[in-house]
Amino acid sequence: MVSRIALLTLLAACGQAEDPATPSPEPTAEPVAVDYDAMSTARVLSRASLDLRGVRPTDDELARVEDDPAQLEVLLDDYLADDRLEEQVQELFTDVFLTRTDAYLIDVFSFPINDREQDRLQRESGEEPVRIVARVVADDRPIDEIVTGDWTLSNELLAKVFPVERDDGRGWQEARYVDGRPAAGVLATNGMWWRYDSTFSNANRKRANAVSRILLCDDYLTRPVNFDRTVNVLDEEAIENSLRENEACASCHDSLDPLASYFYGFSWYAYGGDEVTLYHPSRELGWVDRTGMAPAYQGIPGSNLADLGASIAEDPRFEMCMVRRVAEGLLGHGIDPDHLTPHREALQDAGGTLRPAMRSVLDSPAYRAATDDGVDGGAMPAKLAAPALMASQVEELTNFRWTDYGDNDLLTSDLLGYLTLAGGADGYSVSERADRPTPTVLLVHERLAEAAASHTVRTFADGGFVRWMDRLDLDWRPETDRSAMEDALTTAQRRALGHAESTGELLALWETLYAIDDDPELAWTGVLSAILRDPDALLY
Amino acid sequence: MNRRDFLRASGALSALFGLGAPLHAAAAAPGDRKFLFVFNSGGWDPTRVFADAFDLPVDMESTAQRAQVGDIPFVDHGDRPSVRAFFEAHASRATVFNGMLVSSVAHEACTRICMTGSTDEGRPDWGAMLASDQSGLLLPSLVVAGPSFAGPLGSQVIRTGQAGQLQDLIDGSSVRTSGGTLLGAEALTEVDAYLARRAAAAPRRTASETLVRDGYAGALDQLGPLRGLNGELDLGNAFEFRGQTDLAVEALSAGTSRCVTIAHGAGQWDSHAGNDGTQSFLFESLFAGLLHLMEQLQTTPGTNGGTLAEETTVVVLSEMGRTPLKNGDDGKDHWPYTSAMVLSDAFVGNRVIGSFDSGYQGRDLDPASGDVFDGGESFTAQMFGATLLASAGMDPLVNGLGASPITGVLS
Repeated sequence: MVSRIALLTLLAACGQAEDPATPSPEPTAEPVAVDYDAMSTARVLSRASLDLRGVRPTDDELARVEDDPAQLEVLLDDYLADDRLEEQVQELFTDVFLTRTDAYLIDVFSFPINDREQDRLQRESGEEPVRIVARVVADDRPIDEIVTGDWTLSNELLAKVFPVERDDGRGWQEARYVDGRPAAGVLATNGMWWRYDSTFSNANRKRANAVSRILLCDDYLTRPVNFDRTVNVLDEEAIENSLRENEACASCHDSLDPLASYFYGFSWYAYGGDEVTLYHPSRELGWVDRTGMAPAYQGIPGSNLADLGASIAEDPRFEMCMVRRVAEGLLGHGIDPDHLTPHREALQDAGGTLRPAMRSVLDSPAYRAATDDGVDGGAMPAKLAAPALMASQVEELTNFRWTDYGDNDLLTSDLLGYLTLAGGADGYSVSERADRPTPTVLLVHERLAEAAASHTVRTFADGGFVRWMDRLDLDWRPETDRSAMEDALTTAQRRALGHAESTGELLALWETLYAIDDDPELAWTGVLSAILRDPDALLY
Repeated sequence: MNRRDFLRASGALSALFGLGAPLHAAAAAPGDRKFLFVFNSGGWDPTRVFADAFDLPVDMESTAQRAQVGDIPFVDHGDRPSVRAFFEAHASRATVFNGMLVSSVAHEACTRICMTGSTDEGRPDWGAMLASDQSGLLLPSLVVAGPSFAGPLGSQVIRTGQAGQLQDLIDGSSVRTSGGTLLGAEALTEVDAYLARRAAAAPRRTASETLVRDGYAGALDQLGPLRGLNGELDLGNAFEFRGQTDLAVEALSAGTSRCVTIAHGAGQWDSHAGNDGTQSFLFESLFAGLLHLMEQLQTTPGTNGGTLAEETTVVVLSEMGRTPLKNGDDGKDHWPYTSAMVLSDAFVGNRVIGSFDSGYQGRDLDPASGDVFDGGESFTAQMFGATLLASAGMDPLVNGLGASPITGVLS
């Protein structure tokens, strides 16, 4: 327990950085003493920077932790307050919600939008609930707002289609539905229930299970189902009765069906126009004729989605599940609930906000250890970058964003791009992100690196500049400019990987590639793509 | 070197690992069998083709009639001539499985159960498991369309992308369209060699790190041969069902894949309204496609001296069935018992396994004989999967399946 006590002491000393833009303060604490085999501070910093900001640490940040390891703790606080945290939290929860998909069972032609907007609507509507979660976390608001908030987030396109009043400004802004739907955060979003639709016979059970899986970490579909042969399944009334009276059925349906009864205000199934964009308060009692099961949450009766949101917010499972989501997202693997306790306590101590829980995960041996020794649940010293993270770190370095002719991001779409080939989940055919490299992951990574490296070389050739490198001259040759080339390769590695272990080998590679094509542009493209494709760029 | 020669050489692999076994061999040995999964997403209605339920309290089509080819009874309808044509041509190779329990009525869960035997998120699907039993394949389990559950076997599974994006990656158009300059093959080989040295030198301090880093190294080894597929397989032709079958046949005959997964219907089978028209249209379309597929397999050389039809097991399935009675929209809702069809010389053929009882639920089986046997074992998707593994010479128990394979159906 030495490490835990030491860490807590340190955290208390650090506090929150007041201004993330402020230059490095003086050391505020002694280096952390730990009783596990920790990764280098530079590697922990890089990992945290990627997880929380989607980009690598700057030269200055790396220098700070190398000069003074205690600066790591200060920088982690800075990262948690960084504006880019919101986007990373959004990506983390995208894999949980699975609402960002390329195609909904929605008639997009029924809306007054153009062809390109129809394509975008399919994808961007699914971002709505995930962005709410990300905004709550980024603003350090209590997680209750995820299910009780009276606001949503909408961009210009969604505001054209959804019945919302949206704050001024470009991009995603806070908005409020004006169709009489209850205030219930993600539970009251079109994006959620377009993805999780229902049918007459399904009676909103799919929606109820989506709530249970996503927000409570309890997926009814993973429970063993025993179909009782004594039930007359040809008699619909007998089936409905068995759902209440048959022990095998009732074990799930007693809680699932009352939960499902909260969702009758949303459309049943795959229509266009107002039917699917509007909430229908007049249908909230639809359960009376359909299942006869009054809305309730774990036996607590309610009448509408606002009641449901309030009940979920008070359920300890919700708090535990949200903590579990961020812990698993940051650690890159499943986690035993027993190991969540300190992170949950961090959330509770902070009044129910998630950022302290994230900080607790970042401080944990499971996040920082290089080996399993002394680490509950094991360490994960190398985890695979998600497709969006591949893209964001390359864009930060090179200004290169991989899009198609229609400006669609190729690493977040599967219909148009390479999402599942890059290891991502599309929400339908592939429901979990890959946790280790596959041949297509490496092929996507290679092509991304090749395109970005080519872009970098051409930018310098045209007299431009990218953050990745200070200088690049196509006239350099090892015979006359070895030092300049070594400096350039060292800088490029350090900014892309957090270290510069292979300058000599990379220079040799440059010479080999130049010998093949006698073309400095191709040689630089090859050697820079090698840096971007490095195992340490993909596994962090 | 023609393209088939190229694939045999670069699939490299075939010569080394036994896929290029002697010419003129008999039908493939279990360990050499190939698999082609045809997934029908949305849940089909078995009573429109596979399940003769005229004597059960089931809403059958008034214009459908009972029919039989060989020992396979089926539901015949004038709107579905390809179904009759198919059974007339291929009944001897066909085994129909009726009353298979998938233990859920939700698409996601049923799909997972149907393809893996479990709702466990860590379990790989049949294709990945079968592919993992052979070494050195370039595209071990090629997923052209349809679901994919790789579990820990991610290195075995290669997706082509919904619009054939794998082709764009292989031929480099993914780079060119963004204005980038492509490296040549020789240069890429040098870069790969550098990365391989980096990967080999990286630490492997924990079991999880070893898995991830070995995964990187293994995948890197496959990159060169994968790029070498440029122009050899039509990987970009994956939108239409016929394009999918063409690609599947190419990949199997070239010896690059043991398993290929394709899909028909793209979710349209989910006929909550207008069941009969939807199901009839889709079954006719499916069986027309299967007729084409079988013709291709019968006329394409395999990798063991016979035809591809002799070496390949075609598995046609859908994640769930549909309720026996119609709902108020003339549709049918989700049902946890479904049917499947296998076309294979490794199965006895010309046989129906399983049945629906008077409540339109699946009946128990005797796995040893494959006969319906009340009080026997429940016919589950896991039992179906165990049978597929057994047909490939794999022990289901060793591969984590508790269900018995239906050995009585294996030839």
